[in-house]
Amino acid sequence: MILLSLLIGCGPMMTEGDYFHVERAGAIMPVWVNGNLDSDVFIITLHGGPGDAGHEFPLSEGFQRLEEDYAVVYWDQRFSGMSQGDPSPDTITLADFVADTDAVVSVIQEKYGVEAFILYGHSWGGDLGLAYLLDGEHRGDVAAYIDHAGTHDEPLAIAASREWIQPKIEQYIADDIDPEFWSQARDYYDANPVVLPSDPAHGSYVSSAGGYFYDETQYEPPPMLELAFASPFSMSFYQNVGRSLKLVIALLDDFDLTDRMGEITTPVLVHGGLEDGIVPPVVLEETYALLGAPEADKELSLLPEIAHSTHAEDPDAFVAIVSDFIELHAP
Amino acid sequence: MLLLIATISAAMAAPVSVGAGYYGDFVSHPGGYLSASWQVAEAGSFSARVGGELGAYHHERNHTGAFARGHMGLRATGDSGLFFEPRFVLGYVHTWVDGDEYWVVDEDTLELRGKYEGGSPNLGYGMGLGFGWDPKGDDQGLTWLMRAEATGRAPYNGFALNQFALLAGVEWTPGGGR
Repeated sequence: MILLSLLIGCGPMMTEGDYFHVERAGAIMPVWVNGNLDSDVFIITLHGGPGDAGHEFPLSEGFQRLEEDYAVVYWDQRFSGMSQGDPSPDTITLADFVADTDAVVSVIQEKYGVEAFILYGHSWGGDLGLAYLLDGEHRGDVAAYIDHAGTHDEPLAIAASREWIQPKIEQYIADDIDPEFWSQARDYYDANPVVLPSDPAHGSYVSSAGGYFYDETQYEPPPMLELAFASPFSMSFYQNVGRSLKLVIALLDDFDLTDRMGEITTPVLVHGGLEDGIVPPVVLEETYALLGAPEADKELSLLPEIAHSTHAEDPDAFVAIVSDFIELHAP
Repeated sequence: MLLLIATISAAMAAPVSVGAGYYGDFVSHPGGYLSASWQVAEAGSFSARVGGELGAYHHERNHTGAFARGHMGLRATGDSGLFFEPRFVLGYVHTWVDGDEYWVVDEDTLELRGKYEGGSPNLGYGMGLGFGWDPKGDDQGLTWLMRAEATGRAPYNGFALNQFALLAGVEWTPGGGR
């Protein structure tokens, strides 16, 4: 009875817009096109993780407000979110993720008659977007790219992240804040002078230190019951985060586009938070500096009191920054 | 093999119970099932049952599934007619993603597949616990039951997709029984 009463309270979610799937190389990837479909501007998003879900973006107020003005394309990458099928683990390559992005772009262009579009990538999606600007078949159709807390060099990012957390650990111990936990963290870093992006322990410590959300009290948790029982979400989301993430995140360990960044001449906004502990601002500054786009076509935006996810942490600022950039470069 | 033959022989000799009801993939994604089961052995208040089910369900904007599966369980019935029944299920599940599906055949070819074209074959499995009520307590006529299942299908993203299902329905035995 308790369960039934909970279910009755669950209104269906994510029913608006267009929904379809794109199948490539064994993966069946869900695509949701929502927002202002009459707009001439399509924003194609690339989610983070790797292994998270594009379906998470519209849960944030930042994306809900972007949808008022633009058509926004959310999709889940292979081995991620609600992506189905049984692709071979051999397809966990950067080339396959770029080709998947191309497949989604092709369908959007064909289905909606869109030629140029805005590409947006968050975190790992930001990395993927940079790779797409270098090797994507339709890279010439990207009117502008928004790199949100994504980097060209993951080993650099993880080293900077390690530097970011160490003084915080010492401060927590000195202030007697959960000293046992943070002493374990200190032992971990002493034992691991080099941390790999695929090491979950580091991400966990960064999260505990507020490196993903600067102020978690400002973060509104998603409606879990509705997501579980009345949306396209399935257990796939939770399983992929846990299991596939381990497979896919190894992509980051040697992700380094440094030598090719000068080839990127598309207008790019590099955006992030000054309190980001997983992709610290020093890394985004270097990403920005290496871009081959002329100064007039590239922009660096780093916000105080923001960590890794401006769209959820400060929707007002997110919408203002992203919209201003889009209006400058919209196709 | 001997055990299988003995089970089939016992099933053929036993009266069939037929059932129908709601099948909820992850409880709330609606579907239905039809079932047939046979009591193949009995000892006191315990009875062993085997059978099969046909069913289908729909998860909006995710997938539609259709299944044919066998089940084997043990029912314990109290004097009041209330019973519980742990059981295993194993069978075939075919799934189709919900909505249009664009298939990238190669770099230059994109095909649009129809809604129920193709789909994916899966092995379906599950383990459930059922509760029910046999009002007459004589295993004849109408029986009400509800089952909660830990279920799954494979292959899925290199492994399997594990989740839950809820079944609620009736079973009818036209006579005979224990």
